[in-house]
Amino acid sequence: MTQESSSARTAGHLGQNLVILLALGVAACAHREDAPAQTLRFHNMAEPRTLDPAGATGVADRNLLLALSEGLAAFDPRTAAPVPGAAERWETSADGLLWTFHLRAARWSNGDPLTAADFRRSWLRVLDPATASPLASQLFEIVGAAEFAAGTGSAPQVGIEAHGDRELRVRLRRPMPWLAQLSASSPLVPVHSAAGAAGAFVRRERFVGNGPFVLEERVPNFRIVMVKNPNYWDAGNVTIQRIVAYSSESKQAAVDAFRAGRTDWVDDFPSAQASSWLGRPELRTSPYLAVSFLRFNTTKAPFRDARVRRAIHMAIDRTLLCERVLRLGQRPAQQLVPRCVTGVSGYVPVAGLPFSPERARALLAEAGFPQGRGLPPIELQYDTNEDWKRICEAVQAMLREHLQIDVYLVNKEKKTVIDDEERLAYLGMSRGSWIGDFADPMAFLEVFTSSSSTNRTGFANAQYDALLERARASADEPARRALMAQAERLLVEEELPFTPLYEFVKQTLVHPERIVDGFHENLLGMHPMKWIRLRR
Amino acid sequence: MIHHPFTRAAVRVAARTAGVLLAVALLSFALLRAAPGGPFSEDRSVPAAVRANLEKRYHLDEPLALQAARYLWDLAHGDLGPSFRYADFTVNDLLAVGLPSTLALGAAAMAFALAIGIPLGMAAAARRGGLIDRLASGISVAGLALPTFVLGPLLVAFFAVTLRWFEPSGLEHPADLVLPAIALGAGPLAVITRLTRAGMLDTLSQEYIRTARAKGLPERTVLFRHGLRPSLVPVLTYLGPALAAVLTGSLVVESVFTIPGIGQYVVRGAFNRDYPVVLGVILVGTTFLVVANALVDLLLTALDPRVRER
Amino acid sequence: MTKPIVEIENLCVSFERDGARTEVLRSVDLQVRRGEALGVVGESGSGKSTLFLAAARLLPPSASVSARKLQISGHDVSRLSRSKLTAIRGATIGFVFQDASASLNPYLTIGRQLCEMVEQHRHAEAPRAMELAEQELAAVAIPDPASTLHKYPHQLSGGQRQRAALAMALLAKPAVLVADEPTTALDPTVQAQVLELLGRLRRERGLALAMVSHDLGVVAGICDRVAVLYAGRVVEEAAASSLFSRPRHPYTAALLASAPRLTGLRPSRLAAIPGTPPRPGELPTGCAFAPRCPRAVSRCRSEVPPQITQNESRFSCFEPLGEPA
Repeated sequence: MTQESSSARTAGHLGQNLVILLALGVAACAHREDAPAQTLRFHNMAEPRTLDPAGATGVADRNLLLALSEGLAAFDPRTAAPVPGAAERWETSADGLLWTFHLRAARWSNGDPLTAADFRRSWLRVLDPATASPLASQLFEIVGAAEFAAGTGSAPQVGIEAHGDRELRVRLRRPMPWLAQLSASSPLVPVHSAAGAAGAFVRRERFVGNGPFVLEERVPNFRIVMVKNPNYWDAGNVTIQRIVAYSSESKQAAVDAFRAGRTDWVDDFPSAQASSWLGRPELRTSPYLAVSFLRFNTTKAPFRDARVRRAIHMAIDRTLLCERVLRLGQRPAQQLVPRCVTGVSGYVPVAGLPFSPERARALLAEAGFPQGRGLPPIELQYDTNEDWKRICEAVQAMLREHLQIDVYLVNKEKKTVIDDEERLAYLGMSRGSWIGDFADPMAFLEVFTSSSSTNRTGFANAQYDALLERARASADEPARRALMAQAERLLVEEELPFTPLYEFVKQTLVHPERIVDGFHENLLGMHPMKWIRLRR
Repeated sequence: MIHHPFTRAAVRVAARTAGVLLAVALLSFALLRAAPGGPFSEDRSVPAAVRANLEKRYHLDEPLALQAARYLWDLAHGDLGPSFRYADFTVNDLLAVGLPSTLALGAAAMAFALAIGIPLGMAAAARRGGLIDRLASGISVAGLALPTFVLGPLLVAFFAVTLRWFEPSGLEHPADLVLPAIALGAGPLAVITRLTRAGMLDTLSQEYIRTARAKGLPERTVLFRHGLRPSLVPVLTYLGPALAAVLTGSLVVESVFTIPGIGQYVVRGAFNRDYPVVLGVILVGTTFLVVANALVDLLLTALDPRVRER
Repeated sequence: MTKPIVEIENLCVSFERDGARTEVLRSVDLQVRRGEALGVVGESGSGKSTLFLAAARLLPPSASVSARKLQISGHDVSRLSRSKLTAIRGATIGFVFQDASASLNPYLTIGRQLCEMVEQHRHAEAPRAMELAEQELAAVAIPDPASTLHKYPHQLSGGQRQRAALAMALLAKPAVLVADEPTTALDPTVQAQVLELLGRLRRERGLALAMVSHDLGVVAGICDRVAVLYAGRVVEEAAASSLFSRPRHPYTAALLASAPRLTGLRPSRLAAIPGTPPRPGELPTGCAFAPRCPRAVSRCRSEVPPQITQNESRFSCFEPLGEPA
């Protein structure tokens, strides 16, 4: 027997103590306060860019803004159709060029009266070149708006007029049937006159809003806490006392938090994740006003030739893509405008070109590339995302099978993809998608006009532009729809600067025992929180 | 007596830090701007006129050299600039909110690694080849082989989702640090266990340990009074690299656990082309590392009287 | 005759490394009596250092130790509890090792290392322990004992370090001090001073001393009795005077011949003995010294010579040198 083994005994005790210590630590951590019953906790995707309506472009921004503020109209939780908000009613002139909104008696969260002048100032702020709002163009149909935004006009020339405290008149150059919808959306919610001050969208004591909730706390990239606004005009109908909106780019973390019972609702998450929830009551999927497509660079060979673009389009089996790859009820799209738009706008999207490998091969041969011979290698770029990867791989396989074309996939990060598209520097195809700002075909069709900065295909067709101009000018709804259909047909049955793939569905996870009422699916993916009822 | 050389050391550290920061700032600035796209490239392309207005507001329309000079000027005044992606915040705001979380996470991870690693390494060395030693080597291998982005989700799946002992993400309660600290500290834990074990074995073979035993000291005194300090020298030397590892590791861990620290801004900021945010985080991280390494040097000096003399 | 402090009978020690066993000590008998100075002499590898480490159970776990008898102050060391063992170490059997720069802890002050000895064995707390430590430093003739207490080992000279190590060992008032090559690492002048000090302190305090050395010269000036170890065996043991004047074992004789003068001057190498000592584990059959022995006969190479005891001395050799007087 020797001495060193006794040091082992000492160390053994040490190890024992350690285990006990750890166990104590775990036990100490195991309990914590539970959230009060009327607190809604949800995962709101990535951190919002801003809570300034003029800069808020993302869905996360919108979700929060519509809880903290309210436009003239508000969204119906079932249909997303505009219903009275800060305005109790509105009317349109026969030519559709004059809108009159009648405000209800309402107050800001600090008690100040909410007036028509507040709305006028807020809308002008979006247009003001000093604000540099990326959303300004949504208001360009208002008289004098485009000129003011471009710096050639002035604010008094813009057709937004406050008549007294309770009436706002909006004069348009051309009809905007979707103005009521738009006035409910986040860019047109009012901001208080103190909003220019630093911290107005961050600090509780600086924030002033007119929505059902007010800002309580904001920790970037973590959470935003809102509490019920007692000064909201409809406060009697709001039962939620407190909302905690978590922000995180990690969708896995969002799903884990939901699984662990920390959140009641995950607003959006990847379809790759969703498949494991199929058949569960928590998973809700619904058509979403968004479409997925592949852009062609029409300025470079071989996609200068519309026949090649059509051939690619007809060689993609969208039904297979939706049923085998996406699997969450996404609908195949051979057209640009999602079919869910019909319910709100009455527009019926066009049929588009069907999947037909024979016709695709014929077109390709006609364009001088029989069996794909003579085609340069074709690049398909996509931004980093598990869903996009699966989709692009499926397309790659289909094109090889039906056209004997070799497509190589290039994965880039998002800003690089967008930069390539904007400079038309990509070498073939680029994955993209578009979410409509409002439920009207125009929200999609205008993306591919020659003046649209989001076009990014090099496609410029005077006939298409003219059709849309005429549609814009038309106050006659059936005529307007016909013109838009004609334009869409030109776009997706002849020119195809992009090939549509599918109409999105929105996946949300909702805790069925916590959220008992007031949460509905609609084509805008809007879930106005004032209507949500939690279990008592 | 100690005061004077210490002040000198502090001045030296400050000068070194400033030099490193300047170099890092310029290099990062150049690298960031070399990436394609810009902060305002979005799905919805902004019209050229609006983009011009935006770029003007943030001085992005100026020549790069002027922008760099402007940045350094503001930096010298403690202003790290605005964030493009998080428009409601300045970089100073973001860091002020994020830094405490990152520091708490890093400290918790280091505390975990040290509190487990040192006793475990000691125990393993004391009973070499025994059960604890095998356990320790198992932990070491696992800690080094399991990357953070695998270990993190595993911990979440088991301890948060299945057992519900901990929250899966966020930082609303000190207990929320437990899982991320384990995920982040696992790597350093593995190294610290190994280093302590090796250091302890080396120390235990020293003659002065035999002397201590020959003096009739109880084994506890031999291990802790005579054996511990010398065994910790390699651990302490590793603290500098460990802090760097923890800092870079927290980029991943903060994402996995949704911890509102500053680590997440490095990758996200780069993806978002949010130049000031990335620069700010890099500069803060660099400062932290340089200072931490200087502190480790000081600590080493304090630990070993022979080094102290020089 | 009083009872010996250290009694060792038939001690065998072997080390196991990579599955191979190496015998380091083979049936060694040895005693240290109260108040006497015993020299243990042998070349490196002879097992001389292992001897007393084994007696105090200070060998690493890789060593296996067996003995018919292994006692310190009448306690059976192999059966002692941990606390009894720690009480005996230091307080009954003290150690001074070869190189104080390695055997003193470089991370602790001299004062700390001395005081813990007092605290452990004399149950005196801080101020009193410091006082005792300072006194002991003064006793070993360290010039400025008070300030030395606050120094680290590396701040002392080699001689002072060894004195401090000696003071440390003496602080617990051991009955026997094992000094393992205590002066080998020192300059010759300092070596002489330390040896002188050691001799004086031993006489003054009635301390038993076990001086382990490769150098007969070092042993000669101090020890009453000398045991010579070769390849793990005691080949000869006798009173110092008779061993030096009339060695019986040829190895002892060779050692004496290779030491130029027994004055404690430069430690000499054993260059005069042809060949090299056998490596442990590669021992020849018969007498381990036979391959190097000028007197070896064939029997020496086949049989281990038995121990022959005459009066107070003993040796193991078939062909011993001349009869003692």
